Amino acid sequence: MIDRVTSTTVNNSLVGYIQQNYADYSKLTEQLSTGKKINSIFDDPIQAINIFNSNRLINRIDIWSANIGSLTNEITQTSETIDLIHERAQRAKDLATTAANGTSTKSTLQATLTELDQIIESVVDLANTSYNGNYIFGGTNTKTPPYEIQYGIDADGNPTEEIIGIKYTGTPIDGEWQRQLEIADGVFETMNVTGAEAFGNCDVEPVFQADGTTPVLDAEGNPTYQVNESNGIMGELINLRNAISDTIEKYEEQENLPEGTPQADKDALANEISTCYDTINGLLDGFATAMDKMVQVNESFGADINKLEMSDESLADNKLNLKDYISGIQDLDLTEAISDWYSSQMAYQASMQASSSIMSMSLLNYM
Amino acid sequence: MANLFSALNMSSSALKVHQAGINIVSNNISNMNTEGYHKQKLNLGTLTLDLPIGNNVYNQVKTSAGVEAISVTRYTTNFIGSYYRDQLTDQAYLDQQKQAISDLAEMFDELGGNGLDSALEGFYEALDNLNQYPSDMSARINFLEAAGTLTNSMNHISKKLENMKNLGVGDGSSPELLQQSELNTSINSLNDYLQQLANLNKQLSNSNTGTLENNNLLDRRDVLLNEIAKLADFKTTIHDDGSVTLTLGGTKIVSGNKVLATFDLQTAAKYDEYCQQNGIENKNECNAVVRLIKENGSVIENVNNRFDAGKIGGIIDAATPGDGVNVYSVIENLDTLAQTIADVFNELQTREGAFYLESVDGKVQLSNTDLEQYVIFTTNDGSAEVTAGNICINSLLTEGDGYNKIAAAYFEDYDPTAPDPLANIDLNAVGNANNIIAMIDTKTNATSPAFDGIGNIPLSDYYSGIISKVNAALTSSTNAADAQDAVVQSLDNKTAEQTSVDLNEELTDLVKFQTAYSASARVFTTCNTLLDTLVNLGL
Repeated sequence: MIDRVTSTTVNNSLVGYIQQNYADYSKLTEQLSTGKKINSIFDDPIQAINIFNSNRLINRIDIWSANIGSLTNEITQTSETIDLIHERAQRAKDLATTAANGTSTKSTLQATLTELDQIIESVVDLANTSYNGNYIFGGTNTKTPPYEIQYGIDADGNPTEEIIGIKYTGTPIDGEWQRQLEIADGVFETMNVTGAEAFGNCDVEPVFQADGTTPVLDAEGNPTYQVNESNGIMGELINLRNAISDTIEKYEEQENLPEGTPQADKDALANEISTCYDTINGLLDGFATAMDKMVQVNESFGADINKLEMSDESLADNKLNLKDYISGIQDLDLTEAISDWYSSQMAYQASMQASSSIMSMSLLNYM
Repeated sequence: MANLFSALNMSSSALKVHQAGINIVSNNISNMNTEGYHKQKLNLGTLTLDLPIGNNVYNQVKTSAGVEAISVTRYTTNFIGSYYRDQLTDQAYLDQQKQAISDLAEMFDELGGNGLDSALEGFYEALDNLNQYPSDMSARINFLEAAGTLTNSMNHISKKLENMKNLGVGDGSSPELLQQSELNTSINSLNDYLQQLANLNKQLSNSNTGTLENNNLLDRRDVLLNEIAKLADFKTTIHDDGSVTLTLGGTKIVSGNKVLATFDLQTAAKYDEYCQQNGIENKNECNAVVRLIKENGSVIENVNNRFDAGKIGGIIDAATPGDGVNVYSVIENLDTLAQTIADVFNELQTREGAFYLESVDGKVQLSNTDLEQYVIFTTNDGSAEVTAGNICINSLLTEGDGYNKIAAAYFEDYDPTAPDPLANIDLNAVGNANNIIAMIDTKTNATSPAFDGIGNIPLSDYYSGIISKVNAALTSSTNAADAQDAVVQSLDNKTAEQTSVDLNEELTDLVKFQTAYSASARVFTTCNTLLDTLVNLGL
């Protein structure tokens, strides 16, 4: 109940109303200029926390998306490289098939051997592909080329140009070879496959005597080699090379047979050559298996890429939802805001006008 | 004849009284904008002579002797002043609290970009980059920079918070800081007000009630009591003569014309000294201690707990650890966060099986020699306890090629007790980023014991928690302060309605008194003429 109305109370309340209207008006003006309802935590402390948390999540999603991009690129690069090596292997297999059909001669085999050496070198180059400064097939051994070609030696222990092995020096399959990137909270996706898994390893070393430099020679005076490991396409390529090289040797032996060699010995040699072709023929199955392995690795990679694409899509959805959410909290409904702004402006003006007319009135004016 | 003279006297008293009325109106108008001024009113009464009346009409007329001014009353409110002052005390306390929390909240306004959260996220982002390029110099330097940004922003916020605390109550040991503190200012004005009140008490007891002077003193007293109420929750006893006795927590502070005890501030360190000297258990947790020095020189140490309301109570509460959110609790939380960050990452960095890079003959490879000295986070003041204020990056990692010392690689099957622990480790595996992955994993996985200090929740969640607490406190303190503002506002309005000066009212009174004055003057002239007539009659 109002006891008295006095100049002081009227003035106080008028000032109060004007200030309130001015505050509303300037608040709406600020919101309109920024386009946001919540400009600092003081506007709405609780919602501000939600915005803050959502923004953080959006940043993280951006990182995950970028990681998915990197993963996809590296996996694609890996997959394409495996395809290229598969092509080379196919060519080597074709060479083997042609060589094995028995119509080959020494000179065609020599041409085959030359091409095979080129194929081996090109396969090793491909297997040593680096992407973003990392050797992609070396596991976590990213700074050293994972494959090196091993060359033979002559009877004196000097290196020759004969390829005897393709050694894998990357992280072994049972080691910690995975390189991973985070694609969701605590979810890490592997981006690589080791050369050992995809292409195998063919580690062949010359055998030396105790002094470490003098080679151990076999009965025919040739250096001997020890096969530490041989598997995958690398093993098959070396096996093929060895088989062809052996065949050429037999042909050479045949050419060099002295006059008057007994027919039985000639037949035996011809038999051996025929066995050589059988060996080459026998390698085809192994080739097929090794190439299947590559296809298999590639297919599992393809599945990874599909999975990544799906993850990326769901991340993009999440981001969109979060943005919608933030926008719902923070953004201004312009239509509503502008009409509010006009009405607050009117209210401000009206309160000032009313105040000035009431304040200027006094009994003094009529005395 | 006597009647004619009495009419003359009556009109002359009326002239005097209405002159006084105009004075009161003038005083009211002059003070209509004075703070705490209560409208005053001249009370008039008829003047009667004590004569035997009887049934004689003439005698009855003789007894009326005109008008007299009885007293000057002061318009007062119909609610009790102490209730209003209690509301003022609460308002000042809540305002102080709201102000403190707002300052805090401003520091944690991540929408405006405070930087700590983005620094923490940036740190994880740099880890992510390092995971992708574990042996890259640029990724490693980038990571150290991100870690540096994180420690810098923690240092920065910690410093701002310390300053805030110092601004309130000083740092507990420096008398200079205490001198500059907000608490000191408030205590000084309190002492000042108390002295003014004692002086007023003296003047009040010397003046008579119902006088203009007395009313003005009462106005000043009420204003002063309101100011004192805003600072602290005193018990106020108002005596009949208008003088006031103030009591705080059972001790009389002002009584009569004397200030019986003054407030004094000392640092927490000084108080601690006193406690040790006197074998008292020191339970004080505030950096400043208020004490009471009595007139006779005796001292009541530590009366902090007597300030549970008002502005001073607000300042002390904001700087005393407790259940609520204040600078103190936030500093503590940030320190815990800093300690946890250091624990979590240092532990992973130096754990068994972790390997850093080493340049051997121009080629990088893995090594774990002296790994334990290459912690990531350490303190810049040599203390073992990591706080937000002292956390920094180990200089061994920032100097020269120290960036290589970040242990990115980790081998689970590393066995330090084996005869040749490195036999199974491929030292060329510079692309191994398992340790970085473990570090990234702490973004969401907080099961490690290093997270025990923050309740096994991720770092960013803990930080969000701090902000949430501050913001929730901001909401509730703002609401409480606004509500209290409304209460005080409505009491203010009520007071203004009941006691303030209205110009129209005064102008009406002015005209009223003026008219009466003119009329009395006319009566005086008329009587004079009558007397004149009478005198001429006799001639």
